[in-house]
Order: sequence, then C-alpha cells, then structure tokens
Amino acid sequence: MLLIFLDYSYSLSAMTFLATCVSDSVYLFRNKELISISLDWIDNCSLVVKMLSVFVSNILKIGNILLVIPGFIILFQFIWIFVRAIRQKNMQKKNIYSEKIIREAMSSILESDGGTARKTDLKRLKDALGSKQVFYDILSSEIFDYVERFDELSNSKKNLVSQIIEFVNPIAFYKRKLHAGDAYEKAHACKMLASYGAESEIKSIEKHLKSKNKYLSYSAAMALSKLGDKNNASQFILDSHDNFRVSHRFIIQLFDNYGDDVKGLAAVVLGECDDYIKATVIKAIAKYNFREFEDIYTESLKSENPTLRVAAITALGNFADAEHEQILINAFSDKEWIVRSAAVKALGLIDTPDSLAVVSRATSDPEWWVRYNAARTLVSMTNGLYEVESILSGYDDYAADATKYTLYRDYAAAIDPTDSNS
Amino acid sequence: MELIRSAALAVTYLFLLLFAFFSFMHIISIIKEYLIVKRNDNKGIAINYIERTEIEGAIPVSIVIPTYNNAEVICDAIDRALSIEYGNFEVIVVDDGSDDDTIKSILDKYELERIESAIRCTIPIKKILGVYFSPKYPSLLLMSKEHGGIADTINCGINASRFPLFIAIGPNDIYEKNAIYRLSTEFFIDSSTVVSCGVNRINKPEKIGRTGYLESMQMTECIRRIGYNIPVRNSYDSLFSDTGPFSLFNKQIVCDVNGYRVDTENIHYDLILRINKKMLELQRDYRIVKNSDVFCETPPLQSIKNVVKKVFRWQGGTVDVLVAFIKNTFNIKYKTLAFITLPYNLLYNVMFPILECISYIALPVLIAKNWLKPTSALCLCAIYIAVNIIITLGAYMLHQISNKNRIKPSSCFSILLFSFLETLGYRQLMTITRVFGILYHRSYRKAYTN
Repeated sequence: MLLIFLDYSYSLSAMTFLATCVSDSVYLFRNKELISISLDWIDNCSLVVKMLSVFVSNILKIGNILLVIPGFIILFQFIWIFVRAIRQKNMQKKNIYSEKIIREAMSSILESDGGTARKTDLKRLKDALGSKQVFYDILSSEIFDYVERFDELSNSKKNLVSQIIEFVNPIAFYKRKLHAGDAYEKAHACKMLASYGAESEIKSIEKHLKSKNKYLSYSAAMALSKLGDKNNASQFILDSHDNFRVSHRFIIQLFDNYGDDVKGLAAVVLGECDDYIKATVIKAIAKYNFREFEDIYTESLKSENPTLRVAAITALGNFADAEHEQILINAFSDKEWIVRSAAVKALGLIDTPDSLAVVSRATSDPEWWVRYNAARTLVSMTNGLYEVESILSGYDDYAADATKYTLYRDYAAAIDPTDSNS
Repeated sequence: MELIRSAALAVTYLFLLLFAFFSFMHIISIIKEYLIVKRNDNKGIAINYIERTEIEGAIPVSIVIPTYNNAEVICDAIDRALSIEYGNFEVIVVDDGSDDDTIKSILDKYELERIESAIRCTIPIKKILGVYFSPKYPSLLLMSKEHGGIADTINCGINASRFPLFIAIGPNDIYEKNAIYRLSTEFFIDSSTVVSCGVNRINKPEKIGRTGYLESMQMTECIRRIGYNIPVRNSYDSLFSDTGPFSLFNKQIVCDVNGYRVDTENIHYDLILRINKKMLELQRDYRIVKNSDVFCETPPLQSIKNVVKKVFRWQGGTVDVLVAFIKNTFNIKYKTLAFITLPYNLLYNVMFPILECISYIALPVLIAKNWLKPTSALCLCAIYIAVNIIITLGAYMLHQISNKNRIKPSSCFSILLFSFLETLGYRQLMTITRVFGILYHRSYRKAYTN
C-alpha cells in the first residue's frame, strides 16, 4: 500500500503515524519534493512525536488567545446564569403576586353586590391575566371549580361566572394558542377548549389529530371525544393500532371522556375494527353492561386472540347473569392461563354453586396466577369461605398457599381494621 | 531514554486528543440539549392533560424499596412512597437481612403482622424469611429475606409485585409526588415503551455552596455528568453507564431477562443493556425513553472515604458490565448498542480515565526532564481547567433553563468557585479511583459475589 501525505498541515501528523502502522511506503510532500519515510516503527514514532511537538508548540504560541477565549466564554456563562437567576427570582415574585390578585378578584366579583366595584374587579382581573398562559390556567381552574358545583350555586352567581367568562374571554385566548402556540401549547389549548365546551373549535382541533407530536394528537383526540365528535373519535381509535401504537389504556380513557353516547361510539368502532381494537373497546365498555353487544362478546370468545377472549369474558362476567355461566365454565378449559384467570374472576361475579365449584377447582390450576386469582375470588363469594376451609385443611399445598396469602392480604384489607368483630 | 520520552509525549498527546474529542462532544451535547429543552418548554402542561390519576386510568405500579440497615430513614421513605400522586400502586419494602432495627421500626410504625406468603419466584432469589402486612395499609407489604445484595433484594420485590410496571427506589431517594406519574405517561402514550428513565442526581444543585465542601464537589461533578449524559443518550440512543436508577420498567421484560444481575455493582445499567439486547434479538419494536425533567435526588455522601469507595465500586461495576457485553461490540445484529453505546462507553469509561491517569504521571516527568517547557505545560493545564469549567457552567446553564426558578443569584458565585475547585484535586482523585476500579474490577466482583 502506498500513501502520500501533504505536510502543510500539522493535523495530518497523527494520520501519518497511523499510516505507518498499516502501509508499506509512506511519503511526505514537503517543499515540492516527495520525501520517503522510513518504515521502522520506533523511528516513525519519534518522527511523529517531533511533528506533534511542533504542532503543540505552534498552538502554544497562540496560547494566550486560547486562554483568553475560554476566559470570555466563562465570563459570559457566569453572567448568563446570574442574570437569569435574578430574572427568574423577580418573575417568581411577580407570578405569586398576580396569582393572588386573580384569586382575590374572582372571589371579590362573586361576593360583591354589583355596581362599580364589580366593574373595577373585572378590570383588575383582566389586567392581572395579561397574556400569560399560567394565569389563564389559574383562572380556568377557578371557573371549573364553580362550574362543577353549578347546581349548588344561586342564579345570580351562575350569571356572574358567565359574565367573567364573557368579559375575560379565556376561550379566545386558548383559540389563539391553538393556532399560534408550539405543539405542547396547542395540546394544552385542545384540553382547555374541550373543558369550556367550545364546539365551534372542533374543525381546528381536528387538524391536529394526525400530528407527529403524540401529545398533540392524543390531546386533540381526547378533546374531540370530550366534545362528543363521534366521527373523529371513532376514526382515531380505528387508526390508532396502525398509526400510533397507542396503549389500550388510552382508548379506555377516550371512552371514559366521551359524552353521553358511549354506546353509539362503541357500535361504530366495533363494526369496523380489528381484534386488538375490539378487545380494547370491549374492555372499555364492559362496565356499562350494554346488552346490545352480548352477541359480539359471545362471538369474540371464538377468536384466536387471547386478549379478545379475556375482554369478552370480563364483559360477560360483569352482567353477573347465570345465563352466561356455562359459556364461562367452558372458557375455564382454555389453554391460555390469562383466559382461565379471567373466567375464574367472571364466575366469581355470577356466584352460583356451580361457579363456586369451578373456582374452587381453579385453586389447583398449574398456573400460579390462576390459583392466586381463584383464591381471591373464592373469599369474596357466598359460601366461598367453606371452600376455603376445606382447601386449607386439604392436601393441595399450592392451593392452600395461594388461599392463605389471599386471606391474609386481600381479604384482611377488605375488612374494616377498626371493627373488632371482623 | 528516547523511547520513554516518546511514550510519555504520545500518552499525553493521546489524552489531549481524547480530551478534546470528549470536550467537543460535551459542548455539542449541551447546545443540542439546550435546543431540545427550549422546544419542549411547554411539555409539562401537555402531560397534565392526560388525566389518569384515577384508578382506572393509571397503569398499576409496584414501588420496590430495597433496604439494608436503614432503620433511621426507612419509615420516611415509606411515607414518601405512600403519599405519591398516583391512582393505583403498591409499595413493597424488601429488607435484605438488616442487622439493625429496620424491620422493627417498620413493624411498629405501620402495625404490620406476619402473614403466610405465597410469592411466585419468577427470578431466583435468596430465601424469604417473612412477609408482613396490615389491613390498615393495604398498599404496603414488607418482606424480609436472607442477605443477598441490592440486586437480589430488588429481584425479591419484583417477584412479589402484582402489577405490570415497577420502579426501584432507594430509602434515601427524594422525588416529586408526581414523578412516577410522569414516568408512566410514556407507557400510556406508546405501548412499545419498555423502560422510562428518570434522572438520578446528588441533592439539588441549587444547594451548592450552602452545604459542605465535599457535598458541593459531588454536586458539581454530578451536574456536569447529567448535563453531558442526558443529551448524548437522547441524541444517539447511547445508553450511558448511569442510566437505570429511578426508572420505571415493564416487569414482564425484566422477568424475561432474569431480573437484576446479582454479582455486579452497576445493576441498572446492566439490566438496561440486557433488555436492549433481548429486544434486538427478538426483533421487537421497543423504546427506552429518557425523561430529562424527572428527577430523583440522593443525598451526598458525608466522608471522602465513602465517596472513593462508591466511585471505586461503581467504576468496577461499569467495567464488569462492559466486559460482559464486549463480544457484542460491532455485531451488526445489535445496531446502535454494538456500534455506538458499547464502543463509546469503553472509550469514555475505560480508556479515557486510564490515559488521564497516566498523563498525570507523564506530565511531571516531561517537565522534570525538560522535554516539555514548564510554560507550555502550564498553558496546557490552564486550557484543561478552562474547558472543564466551561462544560460545568454549560451544564448549569442547561439546568437553569430546564428547571425553572432553581438557581438563586446568591448561589452563582459558589457555582463558579466550585466549578474551578472541582477540576483541581477532586477530579484527579476521582480519576485515580476510577482507574483502580478498572484494574481491580475482577477481584471486586469476586468479593461482591461472596
């Protein structure tokens, strides 16, 4: 291998050193001549060290500059930290003051009898808010506190809250943020607009559903769900598996946030979705006990997907209806332990003698979690404690262990510790 | 003689070269992180949107508190864990065969009673001596076991855990009430998350100067390390050797890799590397997320002896982990792990301290033998100190913008002073300790296992 280096740059010295280690012939191009370098490794080391020495001494000639520059950088950094610390301290004081003014003005407006005092307070409130998001958030939390107990408030106070919203107009502020803020501010604006019930902004929020920023796309979906936009909410759920890798808990939350027509939203999604989404949706709506979906639940038990089978079993169990007992008993013979475990829990809710027998048998299941869940279920069933007694005195150590642990931990926790009779 | 001279100069220059490289990386990382922090300035308000502190919305979390002779602080640690803002969690305190009153103090305060245990040992652990529970505190469980080290203790907690996520927290650790909620957000918004890491730091940096000399030194060193490591981790997915403490893990994945390794010190880093490796082998889509704004604070050590001991053990553990993974370096199957994480860490954690340490010896030799002018050597040292101060102050600048209202004006002079003092003496002592940690990592490992 032949390597030629130009010697006009000292920075190549290190490369020359490396080159001598790997190549047969190395030449330096110096003063328009090609000078061969001996390939003796030790000699080369000395040569390279010499070259590096020249390199370093040259740097040191300009050492003063090298020291002056870092000195200036350090000074700049120090001043930056110091000035910022002072600014932040002042800002903190100002924030505390403004927060106090906002809270005082709010209570003063709601307590005052009217007239010029109220107008002054409203003006004071608007001045204190300025254009800072944090103050609008404080105001909004105060407003939502009142809105939550709207029924308890007198008509005059209800009017006053409306007047404050009208005068200060937080919705306009969050609208501006939705259009002009960064992704996180937009996400926050989605939330606040949904909380204010700003249905006129559905179109603007909808634009952010497919944002690359997950916080923004999720916040937009959640806001649309809260505003009752069935089409967009259902489309987001249907797309979520392919596009967003969204956790199933998020979808559950989306359903929880949805307005009155959860059933309608579920019907739209269940009609078009794949097994993953179906399982999640069934989990989300299981607690509502919608009889309309019973067939879908039963059909889902035939699915290859164990998560879907678990969701369907949970939903059927929630009905606590003996009509589903046989289906659930059959599910207990499933090869997947998570399905057997779900079946045991569901049978516990049905709580018939037949269910009790199956749950009792489950305490000897080969899988620890099934035994554990069976024991937990058993102690909560009518006549379950008799079964517990026989398990504890029986020969099956695995079942006895799981039952003892449950009795001590879960069952004891359920009993009021102050009740001496328990 | 010529050979010695060449060798001494070569080592010094090589060290300077590496120093320049790492300093450059430090500064670039700090600038990059500055831009990221500015961009994510309002992330906090967006996280708050996901209102899932209620039981149904929260992904259940097990908080494992390993303890060994921590009688004085353990009850405070439990109170802290029980008072977090989270919907669904359990606290599992695992005592690693303490000799003091740790168990007694817990039993007395929380009125726990011994219960029959049926713990499924997915990960092999030392013998469990007892399980304690009280209906008064249904989310608290105390376990005592034979002494087996911190890794074995956390593994015991994982075995007892009933929930899909877990986090191991030291008895001295202090964290915000919503810290776990923020870590769990990553699991909530993306189902492929396997680990959500927080930042473990020594005390609050704004306390610098108001504590003792040694404490301030530790804080200065820590803030520089955090300022450097976080951006590099975020930028290149290069998992640094301090990754792992105060992290929320997917329990199933941790069980799949057999939990924490019991014969090393840097257990969290080892676990994260093994999780990485496992996921790459399975070719599964996964993400390990670093949250540079979620902090856990550990109090500084009170004596220099303990600091040296800790650094020695930590360095030994890090080298031990890197050696265990060395066969995976440059293996195309392991992608970033093989081509960036491992080589970079080997260079930074093994090669760099050794070269730095040798150059401490080489520089006086070069000056004594008149092979390097004293003024030149002085100039080099001055540049070395100045660059270190720039990096430390850069890390403080980063801290100042990412943690609003933290550093007070009165602390600024202490920051400047300790940034200077840290590079004179403390850093050298730590580097020498690290080199001993590297050299004796094998013997130390034997001792640890015993």
